[in-house]
Amino acid sequence: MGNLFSTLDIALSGLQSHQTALQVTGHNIANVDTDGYSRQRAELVSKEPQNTGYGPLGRGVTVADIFQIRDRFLDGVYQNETQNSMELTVSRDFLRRIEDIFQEPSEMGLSSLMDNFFAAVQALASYPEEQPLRASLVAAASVLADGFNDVSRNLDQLRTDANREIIMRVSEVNSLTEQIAGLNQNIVRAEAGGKTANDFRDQRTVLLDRLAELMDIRTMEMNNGAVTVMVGGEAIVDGAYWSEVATQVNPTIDPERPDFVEVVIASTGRVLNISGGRFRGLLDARDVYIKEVADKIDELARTLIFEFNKIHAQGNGLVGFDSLTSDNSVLDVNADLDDGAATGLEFTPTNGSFAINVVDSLGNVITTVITVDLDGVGPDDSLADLAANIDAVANMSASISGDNRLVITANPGYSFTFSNDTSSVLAVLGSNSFFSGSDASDIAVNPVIVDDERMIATGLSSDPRDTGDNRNALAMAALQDTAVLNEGTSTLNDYYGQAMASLGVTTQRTSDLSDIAESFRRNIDRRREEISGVNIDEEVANLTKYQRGFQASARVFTVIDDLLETLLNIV
Amino acid sequence: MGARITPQILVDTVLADIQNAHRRLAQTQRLLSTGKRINTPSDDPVGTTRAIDLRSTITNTNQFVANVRDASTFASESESALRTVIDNLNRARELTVQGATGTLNQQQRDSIALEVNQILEAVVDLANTESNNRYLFSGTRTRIAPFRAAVVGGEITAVSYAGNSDRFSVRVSPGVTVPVNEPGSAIFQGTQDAFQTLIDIRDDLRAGDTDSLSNVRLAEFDVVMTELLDGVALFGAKMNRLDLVNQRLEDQHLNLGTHLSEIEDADFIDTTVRLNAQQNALQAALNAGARVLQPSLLDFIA
Repeated sequence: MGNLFSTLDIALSGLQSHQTALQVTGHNIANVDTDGYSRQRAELVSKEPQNTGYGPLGRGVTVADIFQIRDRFLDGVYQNETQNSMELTVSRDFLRRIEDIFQEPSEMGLSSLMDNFFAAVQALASYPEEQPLRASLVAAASVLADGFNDVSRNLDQLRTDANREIIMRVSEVNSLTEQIAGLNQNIVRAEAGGKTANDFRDQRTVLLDRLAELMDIRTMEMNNGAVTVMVGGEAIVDGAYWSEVATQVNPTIDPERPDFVEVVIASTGRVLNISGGRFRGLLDARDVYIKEVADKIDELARTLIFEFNKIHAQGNGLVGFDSLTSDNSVLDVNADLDDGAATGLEFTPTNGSFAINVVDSLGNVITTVITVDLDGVGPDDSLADLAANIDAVANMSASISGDNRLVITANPGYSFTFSNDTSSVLAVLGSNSFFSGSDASDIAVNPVIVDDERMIATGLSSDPRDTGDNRNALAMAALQDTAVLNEGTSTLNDYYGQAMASLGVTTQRTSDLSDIAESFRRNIDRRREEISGVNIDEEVANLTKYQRGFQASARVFTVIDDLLETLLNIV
Repeated sequence: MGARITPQILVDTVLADIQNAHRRLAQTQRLLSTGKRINTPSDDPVGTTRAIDLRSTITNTNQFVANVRDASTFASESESALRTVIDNLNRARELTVQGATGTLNQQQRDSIALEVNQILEAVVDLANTESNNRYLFSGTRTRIAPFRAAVVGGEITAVSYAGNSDRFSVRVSPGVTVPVNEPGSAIFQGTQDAFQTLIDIRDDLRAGDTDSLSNVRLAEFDVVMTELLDGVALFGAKMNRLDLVNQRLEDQHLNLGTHLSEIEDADFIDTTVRLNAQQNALQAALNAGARVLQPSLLDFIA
């Protein structure tokens, strides 16, 4: 049977338990704004009753557990949505920056610069004799070349930015994994007694959320409460241990950018296979999105250079050449001209021929056909062979300069022009070419043309008196409407328009997907918050409830105290 | 059971709503300030390609219009030079008929010869007419006077052609070129040399050879005239063709501009209305935020 002292114990248990409950409520209220905090509850249970003759008699209350209200499943879902959303957001931001570089559609875009260039070619075709129109064609061509150079440089800079951010973000990963490993240690120690380390777990979840922003992590919780964090098959956190990640240059990512890095495990050098989060977005931007666009613009510039030069090289300007040094050099003067690897030439000539027209001071023209033997049968022509063949022409000499360029010179009193180049060798070497360079980064107007605009090859006639001959200028103008790209299905402008449309579609799609992923992430976050978030109203209600419980227990205490005093007075 | 709501959820929701309202407003404001519906390719990828195409076609069309204008000028100046030549030759023909009559004395014939000589000089000058620093009738040797006169004792004794027989063309639409000039050799020195005919008439007049004047020179004159009139007709036909092309280009230009505007430009009224609605939405979101974030149970228990 019960006695007064045991009732005193009951009152005491009520006081202690409610005090604990009040403390937990206070902790909740204090952490209302703490990131990642999950509300906690003190679980009050009645103590095991004492068996008496009257039946089981209660012995008061105790705090069985202080537990977190959270859905651990949602943490994994949230981290998954986070890495997805961050990857898309980073990609979207870079795609928008690519769009900004192109300034399309507007009068400032490359498309308008190309239009203006071809308009200037046509204007010159109408008056090939006019020096000012020649100058304005050179100006329009320079503006176009500058436009290509700018776009190319800006895209390259964007890739550099992405690469630099990858390098910088690595230290963030290491800081997070180090802290997660530390918390693992704390949790294992704290939970060894069978209780949960609520606050440490909250802190660890926050860090894992942040790590998920950076890369696609998979987490597994061990029985002892520690988590293992896996990325692409590598454990970057394993219990109290963490693996340092680092960046390492890899020239095979893009041979033109040997400074590009990949993310590796520092100790083993193994590549970390990241397929989500900010890092994936940065890698995609650098290696896919920007590169794809840059490649297309290079292809466009390259085609413009070569196709325009092929036409240009067929004709001649208002005066013939006294001497001409090719714009491009070769690595090996004895290599076959169509062996790109050996010559280092950006473009490839084909088997064919061209004519060289030697004009004397009276205007008499003697035309000699120079064969460019590249038929693969017997020995083919090298630059040295070509120079020898031209050198054999009467009143002409040809040699190879110290830096392996073709130099053609007419004897005094003679000049020369070219025509009918079916081999494209002149355009390949950059002899009598309009543009120099081989892609968007280095396209420029050939210095020979800049120095003397009369060299713009508007005519086909070798007779310098035929100043109104605009046949070659018309041929150059017609390039605008010629399908020279995508296996002869797209004009230069078509190709560019398609590149812009494809950039627009990718950006639009990525932006939409990023919005969706972000709203998923928000939804999951909201569900987590619905379950685990602190509601002040609720806590204040609990506060009042526990206060009342405490007060009532205290009341029991005074009652028993009174009774005891009554008994003591009897004695 | 309904979802549990915490202050954090309210804050997040209100912030998200306000941010969305801001973003939509910013987009609409951009439309209004640029006046463009498409500001980046992702605004409308297909529209972007069409805008790029149209802009290119417009630039081209402008250039075609300029080409046609230049070609028209050249053709019309060529035609008018030829007409003046014909006027001169008509006078020369009258003089020839006059000189062929037996009633004139040699002194009178000499003075007619003098006038014919002046006409000859005028015709050589006309055949060497320049337009925009280009000789009209020298083929593509546009910087070389096409007709060179051999002068003996102050008088022209022969005229030779220094031009060539090439034509140059202008582009008037993609893939279409129209030849502009006609080499002077065919017009002035085709089957019958106009200059030589005038020289011969002058010399016949001086020699008093009325027989040659009436029997040979007048017939030669007819051939010269035919060739010149053919030349005039040729330029007339070129001008007609260029006129038609020009009309088509100008119609096209107007349409193209309208198309581009339809694709690229923002609808001002629609956008303004939308801007107002979005401003209201933002106000509402801000208002709701201000109200919803304030009260808690603490405000009511003391």
